[in-house]
Amino acid sequence: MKLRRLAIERLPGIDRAFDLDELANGLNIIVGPNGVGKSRMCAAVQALLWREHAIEDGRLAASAVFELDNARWRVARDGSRHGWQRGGVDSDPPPLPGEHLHACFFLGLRDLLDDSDSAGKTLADEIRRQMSGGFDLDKVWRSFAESVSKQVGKNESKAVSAAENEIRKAEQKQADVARQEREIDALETQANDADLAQKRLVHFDTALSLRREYDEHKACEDDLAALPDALARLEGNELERLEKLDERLDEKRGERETANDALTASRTAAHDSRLDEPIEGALLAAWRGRAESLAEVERNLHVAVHEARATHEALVSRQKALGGLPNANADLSIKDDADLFSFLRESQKLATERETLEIRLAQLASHEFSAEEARRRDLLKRACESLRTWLRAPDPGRQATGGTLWPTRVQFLVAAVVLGGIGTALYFAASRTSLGLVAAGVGLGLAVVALLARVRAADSGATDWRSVAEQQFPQGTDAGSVKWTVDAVGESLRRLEQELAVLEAKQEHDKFRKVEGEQFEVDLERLETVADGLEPRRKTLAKRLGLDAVSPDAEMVDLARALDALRNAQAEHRSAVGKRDTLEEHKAQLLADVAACFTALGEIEPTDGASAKAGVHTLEERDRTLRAAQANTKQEEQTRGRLDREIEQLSEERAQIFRVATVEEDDRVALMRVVDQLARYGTLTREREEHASHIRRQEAALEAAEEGALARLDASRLADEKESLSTESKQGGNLKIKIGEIQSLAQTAREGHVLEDAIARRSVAIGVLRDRYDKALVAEAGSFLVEKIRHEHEVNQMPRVLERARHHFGAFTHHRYVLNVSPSGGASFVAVDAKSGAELSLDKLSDGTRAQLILAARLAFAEEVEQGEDLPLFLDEALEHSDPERFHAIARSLARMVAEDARQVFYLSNDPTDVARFKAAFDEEGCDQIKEFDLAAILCQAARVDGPKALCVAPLGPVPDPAGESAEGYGVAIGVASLDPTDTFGNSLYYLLRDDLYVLYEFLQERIDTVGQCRNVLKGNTTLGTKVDPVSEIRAQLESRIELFETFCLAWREGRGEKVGRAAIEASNAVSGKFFEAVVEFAEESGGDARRVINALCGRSDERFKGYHRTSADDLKRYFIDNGHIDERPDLGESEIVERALGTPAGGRLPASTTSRLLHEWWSMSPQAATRQ
Amino acid sequence: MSQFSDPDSSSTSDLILLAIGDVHLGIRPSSLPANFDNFGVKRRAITPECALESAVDYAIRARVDAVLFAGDVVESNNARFEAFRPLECLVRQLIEANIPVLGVAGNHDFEALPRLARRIDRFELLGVDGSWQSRVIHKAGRPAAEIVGWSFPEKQVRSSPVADLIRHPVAAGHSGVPRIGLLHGDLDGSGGHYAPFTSSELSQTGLDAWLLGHIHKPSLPEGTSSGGAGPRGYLGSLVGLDPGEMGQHGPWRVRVTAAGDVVPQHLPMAPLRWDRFDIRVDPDQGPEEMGDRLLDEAARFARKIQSQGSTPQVLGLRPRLVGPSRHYDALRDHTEKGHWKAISRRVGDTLVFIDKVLEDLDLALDLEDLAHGDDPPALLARKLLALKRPGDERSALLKEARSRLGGLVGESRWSVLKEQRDAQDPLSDEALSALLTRCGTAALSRLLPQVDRGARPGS
Repeated sequence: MKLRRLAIERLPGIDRAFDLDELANGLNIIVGPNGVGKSRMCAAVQALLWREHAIEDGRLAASAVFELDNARWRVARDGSRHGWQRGGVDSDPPPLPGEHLHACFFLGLRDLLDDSDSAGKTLADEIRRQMSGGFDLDKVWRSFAESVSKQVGKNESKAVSAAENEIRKAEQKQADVARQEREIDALETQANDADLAQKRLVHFDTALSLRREYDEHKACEDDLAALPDALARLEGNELERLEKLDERLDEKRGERETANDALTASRTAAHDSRLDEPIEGALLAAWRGRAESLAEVERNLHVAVHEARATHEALVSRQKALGGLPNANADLSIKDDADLFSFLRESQKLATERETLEIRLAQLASHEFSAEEARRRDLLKRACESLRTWLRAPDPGRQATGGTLWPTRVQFLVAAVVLGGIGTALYFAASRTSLGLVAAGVGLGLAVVALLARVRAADSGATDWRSVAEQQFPQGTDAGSVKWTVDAVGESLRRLEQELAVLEAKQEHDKFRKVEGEQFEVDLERLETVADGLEPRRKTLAKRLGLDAVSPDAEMVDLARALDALRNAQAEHRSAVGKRDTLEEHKAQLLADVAACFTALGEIEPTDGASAKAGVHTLEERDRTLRAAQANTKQEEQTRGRLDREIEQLSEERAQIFRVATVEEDDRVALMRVVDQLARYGTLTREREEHASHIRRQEAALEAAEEGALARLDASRLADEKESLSTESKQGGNLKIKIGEIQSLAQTAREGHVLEDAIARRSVAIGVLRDRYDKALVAEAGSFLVEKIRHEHEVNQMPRVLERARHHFGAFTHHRYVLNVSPSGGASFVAVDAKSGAELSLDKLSDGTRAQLILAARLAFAEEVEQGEDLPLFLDEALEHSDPERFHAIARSLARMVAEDARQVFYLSNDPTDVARFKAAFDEEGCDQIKEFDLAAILCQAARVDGPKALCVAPLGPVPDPAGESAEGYGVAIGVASLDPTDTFGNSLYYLLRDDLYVLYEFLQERIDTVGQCRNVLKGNTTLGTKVDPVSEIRAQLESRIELFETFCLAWREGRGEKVGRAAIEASNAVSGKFFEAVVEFAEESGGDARRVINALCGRSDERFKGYHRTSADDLKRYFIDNGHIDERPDLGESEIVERALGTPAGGRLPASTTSRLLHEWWSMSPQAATRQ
Repeated sequence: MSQFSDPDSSSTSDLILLAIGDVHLGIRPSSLPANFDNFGVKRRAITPECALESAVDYAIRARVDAVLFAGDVVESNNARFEAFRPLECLVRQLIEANIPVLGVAGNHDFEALPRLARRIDRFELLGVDGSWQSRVIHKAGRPAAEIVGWSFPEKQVRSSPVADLIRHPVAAGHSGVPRIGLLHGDLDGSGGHYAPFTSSELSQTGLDAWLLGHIHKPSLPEGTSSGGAGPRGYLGSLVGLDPGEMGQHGPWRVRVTAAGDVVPQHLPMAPLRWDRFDIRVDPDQGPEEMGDRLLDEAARFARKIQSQGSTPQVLGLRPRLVGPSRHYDALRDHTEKGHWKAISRRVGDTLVFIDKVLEDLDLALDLEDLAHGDDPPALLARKLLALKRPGDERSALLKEARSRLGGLVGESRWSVLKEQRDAQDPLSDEALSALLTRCGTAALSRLLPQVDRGARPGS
């Protein structure tokens, strides 16, 4: 396959179209300086050969003509349009190697000379892949072998070791604690010993103290033995006591004298009382009682005398009240009196009943039914009868008109006949049924009624009964005023009937009264009989009382009362006289008794109560005097005796003091000497007692503590043993602390989870290590399998290409090297030194040798894969770094290829001398198929313009004048795009200068229409920039507005994230092919809002996302967050953006009103958050 | 715990024992999610300590006749204080309830249990110092069973204690009374340091049952044993200590009938349960739908075990995706990256969370058809088919792979994993075959998209 012509219409990187024609069958050397477009030309050829081969950064328009199998194949491409023609007819492409093999036919300098292993390796990989039937076994091998590093597991193994170390440490620590815990028993024994020692120390202290007490007690004993024995009996106050005893003896003796005087005086007073013995109290009391009784009797007697006198006067008065009666002084009995009153009550009762009956009879008589009332009753009866007759009578007027409600006789008769006939007929026709009888009966009844009506009509028509009644109405009633109308007559009838009823009722009552009066008469007669029975009793009483037998009952009552009063007066008088006499007798008796006593004791005889009481008082005084004298005498005698005894006792005590001190009585000096030693004696005695007490107490304490033996030890031994115990006891505290610490440690160890945690960490580490192990096994096993497959395949398939490559490489290097493939997986080709046998990898080879090796491999592979359809070989400066010798060798190889294989070769070079070098090599090989093209000259030729038209340029359109335009109108006029805060500097300058359209106009005239351009102008040293005065207000304003706008855009983007599109979604690898297009579509629909995309996927709210898994959505979301498509910060509202912008220096430089207005305008014109979900 | 109320308490004529396997007090279950504290369940509630509290509570409420510990009650690393305290407290509770407590020491608590026995008079540790010892348990004043036990005298014992028992039998305490062996050790293990013994040795002892400790996976058969041989097997751990300890865990209620039958019943009282189940994915099911599917399947699984009487507080699950998938890579990528790890759902009283998603997916293609070519996928398909079929090719491949992976496996950085109680040999035929199958499938899934199948040379 030969390239005959190449025509480039448009190719990025090349300014003009050009045409390469008449290309040689052999080597075509295309020379041109760097940048002229040689490499781009190669790319264009590839894009023409393979439709899927794209020009990276632009649109290609080119065509080429190939010759294959004696046919001309034309291929043209314009952008994505690509088509082949064979012989001028559209055709399928000719059989070509796959596009992925393009590197086999297009070799660049970079491919050959890149000293990194990757270049050769890539090539080797590709060759090997193709040798493997198009399968990239290396890639699969790498997917295993490189999925885990060689070091995998080491860190994890170390982590396990670290965890195990941690466990061991924790175990060791617990072992230590356990060991210490085992020591606790011994430690506690030691601690108990220490406690015991501590306790014994106290006893040793006691024993030592006891030892000191013994010594001091003995010293006291010795001192006491040197003092007089009498000191033991002295109290030390003997001298003071002696003084006091002397004083008390003197005092007692004086008191004894005084007592003698008092005794004499009391004896004299007893004599003066004139009584030998004291009077008994009872006697005196009796005498006093009698005297007082006497006085009381005298007072009662006086009252009794007056009462007797008063009753006598009352008696006389009562007698006078009855003085006219013959038996005034008669002694009336109680019975008489009762009879009299009984009689009087019965008489009075009888009189009352009689009076009542008489009154009732009188009342009955006053209500008798009179004759007048009887006459009136009869009159009323007749009148009422007349009136009733009148009312019952028919109205003569209505009767005359014949009006009546009753059916006519004819009607009745007709009805009777008809019914009778029907009845008869039915009777006979219907077998004499009851129905016929009923009908006949009804007819007969009607006939009877008709006959009665006939009689009645005859009567009413004969008499006017109302007139008759009016005429019969009796006179003497109220009829005269009666109007003979129905109403008036009815009214009169009711009135007269009422009056008649009253009279008839009264008549009936009169009948009853008469019966009652007759009963009263009988009762009255009975009472008269009883009254007659009382008369004999009256007479008897009057006779007995001396009253007039006909006296009325009232007088008899008064008499009875007077007699009763007289009787009472007599009784009272007799009582008063008796009482007086009794009292007089009692008084005389009392006087006699008192007088006898008084006389015996030398007192005057009393005459009355008062003198008796005075005498008794005198006797009482005398008795008291005697008694007092006798008591004083006795007391003084006792006092004198007591004083005598006390004086004797004091004298004895005084003598005793001297005796106790063992000195002569009254030898005060000797006594004083003894007493002076008493203080020391006392001190010694107390000390001795104290020591003895201490000794007893301490001995008891030791015995109680079973340490009695200590009391028998000497002091030095006690001190030694105490020192030893003290040392032992001091260790007790430390031991307890240590025990506590150990127990605390053990407790902590029991309750903690240190080891459990460490074991858990080891489990986790082992789990991770196991995971790495599994992966390593997979990697190793996978590598093993792939290598095995590759080896088997290479054994069968690879040698053909390898041999061809070896052939080329040997030729290129004059057989100094042999090409080989590294046996290790994934490695590249190697060159084996023919002499040393050393294998040299690509990075160890010189540039030239490496280029030769790769070229050889590529040529061999190209020959293999093209399967007879030998494509042109393009070498783009491929031999630039080859030394002349190798260049020559390669050139000769190419010449042989051209000559022997008829392969067309294109060599592109920037070195014109390469042409000569190739020609020399080709000459040596006897090949003349070589042609040179100067691409620069060709391009220069193509650059020439065709004519003046090509140089015509359309003038720039005018910028609209803002005069008279509103901001909005001007924006429309200049075609402003919507404000997009996500593209800060791509926004129109209009948004910054819509309040000053003339300044905007100036910028637009300079073709500065975006914020970014304006910023660059102001920052750079452009002409326009210099036009804007660096210190002018406009420049300052613009700079500040740009800065403010930048702040606004940044703040607006916060929380809203970057837009997402196809590229981001694809890059996330979180959306499978099944959902990819749907997600991209949704992202475009939602304006690139990543949050909405995620929400839709998670909620599966869109039908297109049914089945999309949540975890994939989470992956996608994570990608969006990581790449800034989702900003998890909250969206900022207008106020927050304004607040933030105002805080910037730009916000401070601009007038506040301008800042606020601009921010509000930008916010209002920006896409609102309302569209978000 | 009400569901574990004892149906026929010790008032019946049968002897009721509560046998407890490896408790490992002092450690707590691992592999809990990092956000476990947000699940509303306290970590302590799923610890061995809490599980033992529940078992003791059950024993007291059910008035069992004795409680047996089969060793490793305490984790050796933490046997002195932290774990010892709750053990002592709980054993005292049993003793105060007049429930005899017997036990044998395991390799983890060969020091701790003797210490416990010294501290608590009525806690009876059988076979101290490595000698066999028996203890008759009475029921209603009559001997009902004899427990024959042996304790680890030191951390490692290389000889078979059962062989020693055969040589020096322990005289029966009472004739006619069932004899139950209580032992901690390695049954049918290939030697080792943990009192290895064999099933045949157990048979030779003539004991009526063997309650074993050491292996955390329960293996004691439930119900009345058939065929004459009494029940024997591991009691298992009281609670699954890591995701490897799957399935039902808890104490065993062992009923000794008047006729001498020993009838074990497993009580699934463990507050934490680990488990695994397979999810057959739809070939077209992608990872987007898999999260919900996982939770639904997890909830279904939880309800299933609840219906079987197991109501753990926490259920950690390792679902395994199986079946052919056209989203093999995506699903595998998600599982490897742990996308579904720690998602949770509450099912009744049980909190269910996904500990890890495993995959054993197949590619949705015909390996036999693919293997007909001579390109790398065909070669790979042939390898995968060979792994499925026993034969020389498989053996050769495994041998070669074992040789290749042996270096990696033997590296010291992994040595700690081999010391774990649940360590498995990754180079065993089964493990290696599974590994190669997974890797081969993954490789195939990465190869095939590289080239259009229709244009693939040699296809």
